[in-house]
Amino acid sequence: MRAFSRAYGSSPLHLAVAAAAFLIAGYAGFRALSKGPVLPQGEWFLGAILLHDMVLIPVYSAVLIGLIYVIGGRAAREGTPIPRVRLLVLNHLRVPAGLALLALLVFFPLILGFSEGGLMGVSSLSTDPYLPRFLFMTLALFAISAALLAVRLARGRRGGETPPRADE
Amino acid sequence: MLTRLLHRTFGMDPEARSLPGPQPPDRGPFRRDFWKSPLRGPWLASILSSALLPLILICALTGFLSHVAYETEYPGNSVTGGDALLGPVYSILDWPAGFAWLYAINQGLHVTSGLAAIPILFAKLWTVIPKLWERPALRSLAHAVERISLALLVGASLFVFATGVLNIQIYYPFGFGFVPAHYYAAFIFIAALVFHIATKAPDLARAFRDRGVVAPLRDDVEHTEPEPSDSSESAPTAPRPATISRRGFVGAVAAGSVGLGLIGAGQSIGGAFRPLGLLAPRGQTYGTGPNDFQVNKTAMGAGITPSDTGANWRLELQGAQTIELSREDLMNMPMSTQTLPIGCVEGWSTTQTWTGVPLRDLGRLAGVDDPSALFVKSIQDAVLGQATLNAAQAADPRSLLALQVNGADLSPNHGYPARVIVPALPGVHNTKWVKRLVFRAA
Repeated sequence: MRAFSRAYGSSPLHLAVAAAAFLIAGYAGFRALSKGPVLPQGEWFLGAILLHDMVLIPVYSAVLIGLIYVIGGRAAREGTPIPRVRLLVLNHLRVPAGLALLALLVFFPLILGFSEGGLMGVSSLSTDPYLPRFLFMTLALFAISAALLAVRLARGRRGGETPPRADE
Repeated sequence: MLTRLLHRTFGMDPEARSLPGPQPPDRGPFRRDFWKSPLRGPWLASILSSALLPLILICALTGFLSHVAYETEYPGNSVTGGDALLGPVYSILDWPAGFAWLYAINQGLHVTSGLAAIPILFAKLWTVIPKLWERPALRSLAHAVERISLALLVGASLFVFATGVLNIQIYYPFGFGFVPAHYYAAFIFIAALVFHIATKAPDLARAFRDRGVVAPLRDDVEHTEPEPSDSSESAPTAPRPATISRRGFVGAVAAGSVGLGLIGAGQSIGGAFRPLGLLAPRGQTYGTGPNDFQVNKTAMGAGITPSDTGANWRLELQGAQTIELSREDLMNMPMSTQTLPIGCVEGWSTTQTWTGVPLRDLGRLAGVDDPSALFVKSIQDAVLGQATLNAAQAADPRSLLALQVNGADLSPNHGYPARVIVPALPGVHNTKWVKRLVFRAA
């Protein structure tokens, strides 16, 4: 038991459960690939990991860090806490922007019209309304965020020394 | 108790033999101090996992239940067919006709929980991304096994979510069939997830024990401290000052989750709630006429021509004897009116009032009083251009061969001259433009 643990790195049960999981995954993978075609399914599986971990995360992280430097000013460059007002502006911009981009990422086929042929064929409806709806929703998100920001800034100014509570 | 047991059996042996092989360079993202966010750490990963897990369980369970509802053991009922793992379970379980909204609710939950899980999944992957770059890359055989399982977990989760999201929007940029790929990737996802939970549940328990489940949500941005760097590879060693509190971060993720969930719920519940489905594929409305409701497959898209459905159309009834009926013959039979939903596998539904001849009356006319199954064939020549109903569905008095909807004749898009409508049946199995009914004797 001790020798196994030294050689493997964990208990035999760890290996057994992993083996069971790999067996099921292997069977499912075999069934999916035998339905074919092999290559596109493999590309989408591996591509999803690479696209997310090597493209999506670096790109949005770079944009978010850039935003911190632009809005955070000298404090951000020096690595000291960013003043409250600047932080509020930062967050009241990036949260609605993030939500809008999330909606775009999920519903881009409808919003950008890639689904036009498909949707028309099944429902007789066009994708035309989705871009205006998305823009309206984005506008509404920024408007709500701006209103909340105004309330917080006003409350902060009136409150004087009382430490600001809200910050999202 | 359980987590201590899990920790003892699934924990890593610190004295394990390390694997030979090259190490990644001590540069860039391979350095711990490359990762600056003070929010990353085991508590954040745990709170996100706690929100994600129930949604994934609902999504997986309803997904597999949908295969029960498709009655995959009948030929032609499903695209996937059976598999060796759950196929036997599907053939034992009979989908009931009882509660009419069962399938609509099942699929509403499937698609809505899936949509709501997306922002949490992204946040979770962001939280643990430093672990992808950890050094040493492989500490032991067990560690290598865990990393392979994580590749399966991440790949399969992104794969099922991406294919599902594209499928509900009728957009198929991938060169493979949606149903089997989505279905089998779910097996990989769930198998890898079970192993992941077994290995990580102790970490989750420890994070909540050390920091409390909700206590970190109380800190504002000035009081947002990083988690100890030795608590996990995901916790930072050289964090920058917080720019958002954990409450703010979790709140923004929750807003995304609730928002996508509402969009899904809007098209799922339909009716007065449909406008909530602002960006949903079925978030649009038609006009105000009796046939102005959600269409799945237009007559034109299905290749149905006016000559197929004109005066020469006959319904072929097969049973103990074969009978042909014109639409006029059917209209002269005793009719029943039922309010029933169409619940689509894609997570939308629409409830309408249908009038037509009960299927069991047509069975009696064909000489089969208690059919063991009912095979329905459409004029449409397509993969799901036919469906087989089980005994309970064929016998239910609410199951109709509908000729009218909301007091008017069916429109071509809704299946004129006649369509099937059955309680709790998957939408696509409510066959339109019916050509033949075959009642199988018990």
